[in-house]
Amino acid sequence: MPRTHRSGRLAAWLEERAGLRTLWRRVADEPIPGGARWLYVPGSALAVAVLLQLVTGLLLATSYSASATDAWASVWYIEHQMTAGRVIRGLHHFGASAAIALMGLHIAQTFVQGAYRRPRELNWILGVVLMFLMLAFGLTGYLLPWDQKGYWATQVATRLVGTTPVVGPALQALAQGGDQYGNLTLTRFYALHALVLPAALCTLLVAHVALFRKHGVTTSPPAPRAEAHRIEPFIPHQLLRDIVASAALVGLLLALAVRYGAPLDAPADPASDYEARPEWYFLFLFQLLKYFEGPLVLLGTQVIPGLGAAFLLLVPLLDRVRGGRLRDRWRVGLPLALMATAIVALACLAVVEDADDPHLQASRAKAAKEAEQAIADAAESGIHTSGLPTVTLARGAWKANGCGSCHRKDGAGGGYGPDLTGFSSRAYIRRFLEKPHDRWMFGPSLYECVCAGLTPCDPAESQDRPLCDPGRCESVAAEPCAHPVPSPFDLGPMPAFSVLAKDLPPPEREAALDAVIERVWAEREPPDVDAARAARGEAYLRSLTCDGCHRLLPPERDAAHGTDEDEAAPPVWRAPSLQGYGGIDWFEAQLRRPHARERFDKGNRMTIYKGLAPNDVQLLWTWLMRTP
Amino acid sequence: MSSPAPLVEDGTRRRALGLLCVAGLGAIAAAVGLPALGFLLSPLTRRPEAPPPTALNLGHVDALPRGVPIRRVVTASRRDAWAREEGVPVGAVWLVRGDDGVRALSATCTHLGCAVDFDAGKQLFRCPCHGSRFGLDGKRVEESGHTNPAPRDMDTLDVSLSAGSVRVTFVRYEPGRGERVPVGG
Repeated sequence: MPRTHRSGRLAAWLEERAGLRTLWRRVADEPIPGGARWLYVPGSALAVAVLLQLVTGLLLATSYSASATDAWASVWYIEHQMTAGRVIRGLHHFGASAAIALMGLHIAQTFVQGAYRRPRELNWILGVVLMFLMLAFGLTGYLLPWDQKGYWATQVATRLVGTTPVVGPALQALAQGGDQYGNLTLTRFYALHALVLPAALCTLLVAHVALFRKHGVTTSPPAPRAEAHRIEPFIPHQLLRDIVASAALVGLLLALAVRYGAPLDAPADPASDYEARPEWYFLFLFQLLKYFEGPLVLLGTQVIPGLGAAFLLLVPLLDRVRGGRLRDRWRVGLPLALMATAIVALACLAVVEDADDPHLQASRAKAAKEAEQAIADAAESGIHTSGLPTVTLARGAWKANGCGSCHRKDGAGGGYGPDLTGFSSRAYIRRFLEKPHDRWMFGPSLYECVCAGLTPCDPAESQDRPLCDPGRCESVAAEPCAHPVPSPFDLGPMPAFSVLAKDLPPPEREAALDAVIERVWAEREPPDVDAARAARGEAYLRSLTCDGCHRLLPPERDAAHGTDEDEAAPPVWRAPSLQGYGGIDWFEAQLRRPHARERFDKGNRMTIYKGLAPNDVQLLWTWLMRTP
Repeated sequence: MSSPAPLVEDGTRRRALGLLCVAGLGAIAAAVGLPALGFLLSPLTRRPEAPPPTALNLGHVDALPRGVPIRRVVTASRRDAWAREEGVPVGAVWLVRGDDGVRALSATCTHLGCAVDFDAGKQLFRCPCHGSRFGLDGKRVEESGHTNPAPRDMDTLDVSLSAGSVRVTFVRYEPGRGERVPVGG
């Protein structure tokens, strides 16, 4: 058939130029003496795990941002906002652990089978170097999310580097990109993790596999006698076994990724008291440090691990025994077995000691709560340019400036000033207009108390109690104030809307309230203003003489008080200006000049926040204005 | 002893096992590849992140001279993947005050999205990239000896006057098309 003929010609063309068919035959028909065996599977499973890391790492790199302000945010975005982000990141996280575990198995198996002996010494050494690379992957990757865990655990590692005699401080500064952790630490670790280490790994891995193929599998222990002379090609017999193992591995990793996902702590906080622990494969080093003090610390950080690593590297050169059996090789085997036992025992000890440490458990519970909060905050408000969720920062500004000692928000805070939950929203304006003297509005505030005939007390003495009895304040609210003590405002406290609009028939009163709310709401220029209703509201504001006390309507249409330019008759405002109410300028003026005549006048007890950082104003405004 | 099953001829057996291998590899590739594909295509499946356009205050009408286009930077809130920012520059508009009121023209060229400039000498809006030309009314202008690659007139934005302040509803439109289509719409 011409079609086959053509594809055959293409194959021949490729074969002549690239030798692909020959290469494929060499791979597919590679003879496996003794036949395919499950024993040979861990090495290929390890290769698959490494490949999976390369693929998922490449995917993550398309969305990760290596900067101190964006790293956590981008990882949060990958994890919680992107399609399958949780799966990809989970695969990368659990894949790293699987690769390390399979590597341990592969090394142990290689030793037991004596596969490092002549002529395969070089491949053992390559393998140990690859192991160091894998551990370096783990160390550098851990930092990248820039969360509490990575930040604190990696600091320990770089400080250990810093304790190296002579070159330590320079090495540490090189690793960190400066004298402390920051943007350059992330960019350098990222360059190592995603460029340098993969390039080195791929190069050495190619050499490792090429050497393996040159020497073939080590048939020790020997295959059962019946199969001793059997020779099978790599494909399909061995490949099928490798695929079954790889499928099981990928399936397990997928299940872990979907079920648990990769952990993400709260964003790195240099001021916190986070208790750092390394990943499980570094726990033995962590535990080892506990046994040394003073100048001996170097033993735990450098000498012992260094000797162990050197011994592992030199195993094929130290093993000079002729016999290939395991018990003939005890001179190398025994130290290696002791080393493995010590590593496992130290790691177990670390786990046991941590489990018995109530302080650590409490610290972990706190960290878990903070992580949950940060993730919820990020979902609520997105991430501010400073790298933290906007809500987190605003809550911090609220706390740092003591807003919560007088104001409530979302059910927490003091009761001296209005509850600011949903501040300046339609619901808030309604709440205020219906009951301006409510317990959670202006009821407990100083000048309203004076007018209500109640003795205001010192907030310092009254602690959490409101300044005056909320019930009485509410009862007073129904009628215009008649108390002899003059209010800072000429007309006394703000009457409830029902009092202001008492001449309107009740159904119209409701509509009027809605319209007035819409008109005041329009001041913050929201996208969803009902213009017709707001216009009706404006008419009501005039007819109910609201604009007699509040500056709200534009001056040129504000006939009662003339215009701003009309200096002969300066307007006298008896209540806070509502021009731009709810906008950032209004909000900022309220914080910086709460006692201005245009605001709440001298009777107001609100603290003056003259020196508040503009960023804090913006954050608080953004946070408070978010309509629930 | 039961009679052993007849040995399958080796070539057939190898082919069958080979097919099993292909199926296994396919399963692994799909298990990883499907989430990977979803991850890569994530930007296509996400909801638009821009807030609905609102009328933004671009200053008082009296600040605009008659007949002289004034460029105003539009600041608004912006969502950029994980980041959410308030009060950042998101674009620019040309405001032209005429006898019939104020006209707002998007400063983004309708050809390929460069920033349109104003040539005071020729009283033309000119794109510095590929030479698109528009009049003060935003309409494409044909000049002899020049090609005009713009596929449509400049994008006119909704303007309203509220107590003297010019309010412009800032919308971004896809460049390069004959008809106006909002970006992401």
